[in-house]
Formats: sequence, C-alpha cells, structure tokens
Amino acid sequence: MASRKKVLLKVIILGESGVGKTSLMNQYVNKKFSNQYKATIGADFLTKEVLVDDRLVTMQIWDTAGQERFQSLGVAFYRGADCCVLVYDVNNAKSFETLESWRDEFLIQASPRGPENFPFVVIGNKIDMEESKRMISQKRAMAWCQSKGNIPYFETSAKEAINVEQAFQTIAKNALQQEVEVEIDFPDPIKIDSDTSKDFGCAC
Amino acid sequence: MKSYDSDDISNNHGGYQKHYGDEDHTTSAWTEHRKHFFILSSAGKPIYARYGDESRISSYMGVIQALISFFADNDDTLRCINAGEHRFVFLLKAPLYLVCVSRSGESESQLRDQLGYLYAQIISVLTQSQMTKIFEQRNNFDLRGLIGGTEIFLDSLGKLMNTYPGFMLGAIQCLTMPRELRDKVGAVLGRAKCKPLLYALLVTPTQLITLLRPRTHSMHPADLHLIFNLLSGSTTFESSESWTPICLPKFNNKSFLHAYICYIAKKVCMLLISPDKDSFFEMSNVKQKVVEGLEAGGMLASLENYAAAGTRGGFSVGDTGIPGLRHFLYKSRVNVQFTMPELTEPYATTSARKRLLRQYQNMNERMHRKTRPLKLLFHVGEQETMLGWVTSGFELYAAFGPLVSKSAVVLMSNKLLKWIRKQEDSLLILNSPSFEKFK
Repeated sequence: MASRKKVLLKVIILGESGVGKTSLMNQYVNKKFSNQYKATIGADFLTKEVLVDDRLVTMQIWDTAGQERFQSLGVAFYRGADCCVLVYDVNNAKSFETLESWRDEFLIQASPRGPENFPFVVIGNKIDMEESKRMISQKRAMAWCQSKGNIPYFETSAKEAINVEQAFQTIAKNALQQEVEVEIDFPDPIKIDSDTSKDFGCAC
Repeated sequence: MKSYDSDDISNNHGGYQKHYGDEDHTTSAWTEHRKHFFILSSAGKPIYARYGDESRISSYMGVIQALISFFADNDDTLRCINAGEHRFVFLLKAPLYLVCVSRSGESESQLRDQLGYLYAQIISVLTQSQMTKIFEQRNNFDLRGLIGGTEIFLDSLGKLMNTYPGFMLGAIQCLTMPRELRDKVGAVLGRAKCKPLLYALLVTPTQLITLLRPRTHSMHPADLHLIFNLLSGSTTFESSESWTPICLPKFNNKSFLHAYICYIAKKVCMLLISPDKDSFFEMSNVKQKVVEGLEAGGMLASLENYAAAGTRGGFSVGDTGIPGLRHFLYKSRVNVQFTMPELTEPYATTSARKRLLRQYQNMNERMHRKTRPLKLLFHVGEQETMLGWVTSGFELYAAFGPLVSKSAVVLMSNKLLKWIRKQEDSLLILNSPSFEKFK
C-alpha cells in the first residue's frame, strides 16, 4: 500500500452570534482581522495545514453561523467531526451561559461515538477589551470546563492575535486523537458453489 | 472559502505522480476543466478530486456536504443543479458522496452513470461490506489512507469515460477476429480449467478476445469495464505476473475475488479469476498450459496480429464499402456488445474523437429519454449528419458527411446493417463458451 496521506481533520466552530468565530478563524488561517462585523451565512470553510507532534495534518475548519443554530444546515452537517470548538465572548454573559446548550446540541446532532470523550475546546474571546467590561471571569469559565470533563480552555483575542495559535494547536492535537485506526479484515471468500446463479442476459 | 496556507504540499505518494495533481484550484486552469469529479465521505472529508489536490479543496467538499445535508433534513435528496452552462450532478451512496461538475454537455443521467462507475471502482478496491463497516465504526474516517495508490485508476476511468463509448452503451467491445480462431482459442482456455478457476479472459486491454465462464454465471459489462480500466490504467501488469484482490461489484460486492494477470503477447492480456486467494500457482500453471496450447496451434502469433490491428480499431469504415459513412457504433442488445470501426479522419485527433463521442451521447440521450423515447432520429449537425436507430435487437449510431440527404442516410444505414450481419460473427462474440462445454 502507498504511503499515507496527510490526515484530514474536521473541526467545527460553534457559539453565539458575534462572539468572533469567523474572526478567530481568519486570524488563525489568514493572519488578518477586521473590525467590521459580517454575519456568517450558513457556514464558511477554511483549510490549513498544521504540524502536530512532527506530523503534518490538514485542518478543515467549519465555521458556522451563530444566529441560526443547527436547524438551517441539517443534522448531517456535523457528522464525523473530529473536534468541536465552543466560542464565547468574555464580555458577554449570555454567550457564556449558552455554551452548555451549544455543547448538548452538538452531541445530539453529531452523535459521536463515546460522547463523554469527544474532544471539545472552549475559547473565551475578546480579552483585548477593557477590564471593566469583562463579565465572565477566567475562574468561572475554567470551573465550567472542568465540570464538563476537563475541556481545555483558552482566552484569546482574535483582534490582537493573542493565544489564537496556541488554541488551534490544541484543537488540532485533540482532534488527531480521534483518528484511531479502524480494524481492517478481509471479508470472507466467495463460495461459488453455494452462490445462486446469476445471468445478466449477457452472452459472455 | 478563501485561503489556503501551506508551504509543504507534496502530491507524490505511492510513487504515482498524479497528473494535474499540483494544479492550484484558485487558477483559471483548474476552473476551466470541462468536467470535475469529487468524491467525499458523508462527513464532508475529501477522498478524491479529478483535478488538483483533494485536501486543498476540502473547503469545496465542505460546501457540497452542507448542501446535501440541508436537503437531507427535509428527507429530500439533491440530484442535480443546473447553473448556466454548468451542471452539478450528485450521487449519494452513503457513506460516500460523489459529485460531478460539468460543462461537457453530457446529460444528467449520463453523468450520474459515470459517478456510478467511479463508485464501483472504489468498491472494487475495498468491497461494499468493508467500506460500510469502516464508516459504521468511525464516521470521521479518512478513507484516503485505504484507497491510497489506487487513485490512478479513478483518473484513468475519468479519461476512459471521455473516449470509450462502452460506458454510454453499457456494452463491451470485442476484438475483431475470425470466429474460427476465437473458438479455437476459447477451447484451449476451456481445456486448461482447474478447480479454483472461475473466469478466464483474454483481452487487449479494452477489447474482449474471449471469456470462459461457469454455465451459471455470466459477467456483467460493468464489471468487465472495471477490468478494462484496471489494465489500461497502469502499465505495471505488462512486465510480470500479477496477483491482485479485486471485488467485481455486480458479481458480488461483499467479497474479493483474486485476479491473476499476465500479458502472454504484446497487447494480449490473460486474466484468470479465482475466489481462492491462495491459488496463484495454480493460475500460473493454467497460463502456462494455455500459452503452450496456443503456441502449438500457431495461434499466439495470429492473436498478436489481430490484437495489434484491434488496438488501431480492428477494421476501417472503408471496409463497409459505403461512401459517405464516416463512423458508427453498433450495439447488439442481446449480446450486450458493441463494435465500431477505427477512428480515422476526420476523427483522428483526440479532440475530434471527444467531440464525436459527445455527438453520440447526445443522440443516445435523446433516444432513451424517459419521456418520449425515440426509435429513429435523424440529426443534421454543423459538422456531420447523424442517424440513431434503436430496435429491440440493436442500437445503431452512425455519422455521415454534413450534406447527405435523409433518404441517402436511410439507404446507407440499411446497407450498413446488412454488412454488419454478414460480419457479425467476427465483430461480436455470439456464442460465449462456458467451461462445462469442455468437460
């Protein structure tokens, strides 16, 4: 068999609208940030190659629209994800409080094998804003992550490119753990004598 | 769907340098291909792209998956999108999705048939049961690791479907040769039968010389096309005896058969198919016996001559003695076989051949349309006049010069049919032998 190709990882980004999902992705992939808010319509896709423990992998990042929740894209959309990133805005309490329902809905829709071990990563974005505006403390966020099975937690600024690289590095690393080998065995040989006869109307 | 960030893209895997594999999907060269094929898992992970690096265009795969998913939520199935001159055709074979984006002018059903062939090619490498099992275990599975090294056959299939009318006709082409010789060769194969031998074939790689089969089993043309593609897709078989597992989906999509492949003369390839994976040496012995038998009868040299002529086309349109006739396809519906003359001027270039095949495809599509199928179609085109004729026994598609009248075409077509009838037993295999005959 030929040498293996770079493994491809499907990463889904979820969270309330306006928390900066698209900005995080753009900062990570394109090293760009724009202050202008543009709502994502449906979904947006970006691809990036990353080195994880000396192994080159392709990350296929699925950025979703915050407003429309799951309904618009269909259940199948989330199928076969390798990692789910939950994003909230540290200056917006509601966006933090809804993380739980984003997580639950993802697990329902994607129905991964072993949901208790499925890799999530939580990102608290927009830490570049002034401290007085901050609504969710790091402590509170980390406590929640811990209660959900020790989800890795990052505080980032897509605007100032703080911690974005590190967060995605962890995302890639945890996603890669989903890529376990499947068992390949040769199917049973065909027993010709017991086969029912087949005729396709072909003279050959 | 914007950017791509990488400085280390290597397409060189398994020793096969994919043609067009390095093509950048943001360039016009990529978008201008007339026909793209994409294969992805139902999770939206890329498996194969006809042009470019499939992982680079994984964003497109995501879009495709999102579109399909959107409709699936309403228990609906996305089948085709027509947008300007482009046609997007979908074939959903969970856990795989296959998509064609084409401006080749081929019909929706023709393109979907082609996607079906690509699907069958993947099944021939993995079996249906194995693939289903893998994705049941892991729906995030990256299938490329498993089919790695066989993309060459998806590429060659894509190419073959643009030039070889057998896919459109659902029929196979036979090597033009005297029936007497064919029968004698078949008898040599038949007498060499050993227990684990299921099918024995001699092919040129894309024309059938003869096929020996058990009385109870025939071989579906679609499976034969996969074999033809296997042989024409790689030159590796020309140099040695090969032994490879192969699933023939129409025969049995759950299991592998094993194929012994060996060229016994230039352009003459022998395939011995067995259900027993340990029967290589028995098959090799069969080959030895067959080669000795053919040599003793002086048949091998003449086979080689006919195969060489057959690779050029077998016979020329001039042999029919019908001036004004440029080319034709004749399919015997009973035998599921077709024949055609050599492609000579004005169809000597690849682009002219593709154009002619498109003409045939248009005729074929028009005649077999579900609403109002036609028995007879006379079409005056810019560069040729075409006739299509479908009966319960045959299908005929013929190309004439551009200024031929309808009555002349009908006259010539009748004359052509008479000629084919007379030559039928060298153009087609009318009595495919079974092994039991030689017991």
